[in-house]
Amino acid sequence: MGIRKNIPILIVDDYKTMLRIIRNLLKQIGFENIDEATDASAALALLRERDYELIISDWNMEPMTGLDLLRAVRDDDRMKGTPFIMVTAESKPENVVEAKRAGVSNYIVKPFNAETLKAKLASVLAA
Amino acid sequence: MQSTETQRSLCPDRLQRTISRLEDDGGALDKALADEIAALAKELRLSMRELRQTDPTRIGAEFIPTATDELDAIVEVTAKATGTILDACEDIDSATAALGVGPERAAVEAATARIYAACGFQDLTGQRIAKVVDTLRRIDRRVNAVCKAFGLEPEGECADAGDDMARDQSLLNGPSLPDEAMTQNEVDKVLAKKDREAD
Repeated sequence: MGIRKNIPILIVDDYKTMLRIIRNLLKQIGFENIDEATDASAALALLRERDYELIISDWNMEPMTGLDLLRAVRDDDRMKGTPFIMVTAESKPENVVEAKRAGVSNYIVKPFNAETLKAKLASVLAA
Repeated sequence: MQSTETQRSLCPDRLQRTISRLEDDGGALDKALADEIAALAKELRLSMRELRQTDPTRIGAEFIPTATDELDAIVEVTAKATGTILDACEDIDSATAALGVGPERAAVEAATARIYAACGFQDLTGQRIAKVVDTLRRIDRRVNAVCKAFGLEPEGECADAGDDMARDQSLLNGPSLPDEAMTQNEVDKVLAKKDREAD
């Protein structure tokens, strides 16, 4: 993967175990500059403080969902171009369509494997 | 003890008194209709007696809290176990870093990557259990409503599951059943189709 591995990445999920899993998988690929948020509001606060080059987020969070976060990111002039990958158990076609409509860069359904994550990262970061 | 509201709406004795008043009213009420209403009153009385005997107030006060506590315990235990597995994998990854770049390290990292991804089960089981708990709480609310309608005051209710998310509620379904869920390939096709439509 011919991509800069030191890019700052924000991962968002209300399950700490999933944050840990994604962090470890990213680390194996070579990405180590990773921040975490356990809810979308905290993620938005981090996004307003720092420039991230990739966001990986769950959808089903409360009170603000990953879809709300995506819309907030795309509505903000400073961060609207940030690649955003949704990683979620929501797997109905209408979910994918709605996320795409909101501007998602790519969409991974849980459960996923390391190869899928790597492929989606390559696709998003090379674009 | 029956509430006033219940007496107005469901009391079979009131039905019987109504029938008697109508019959006394110079025989104005059709006999067949009166018999039908009397049969309904009898049926209602029987249903209320049976309902009291099942003690439905225990559903909200005891059965559902027990079930939700057990399910919460499952989530807690699986989270702990998953944490232990991740600890071990992280230790393995740290140890393999000392091997330097090579096929042995690549093989070990591939194996730990499979374990990391598999540990995602804990997230999905947690979401499925949350759906079950939500269903139990809906059942509890319905049972409480029936108890109140029949004048059986519940001893306790489950804590409200909270308001559903205000936005995009219909999109929040959690993990689908295996034969209903889209595969990653199917998701990719939907995304590609939307990209073509946008071009």
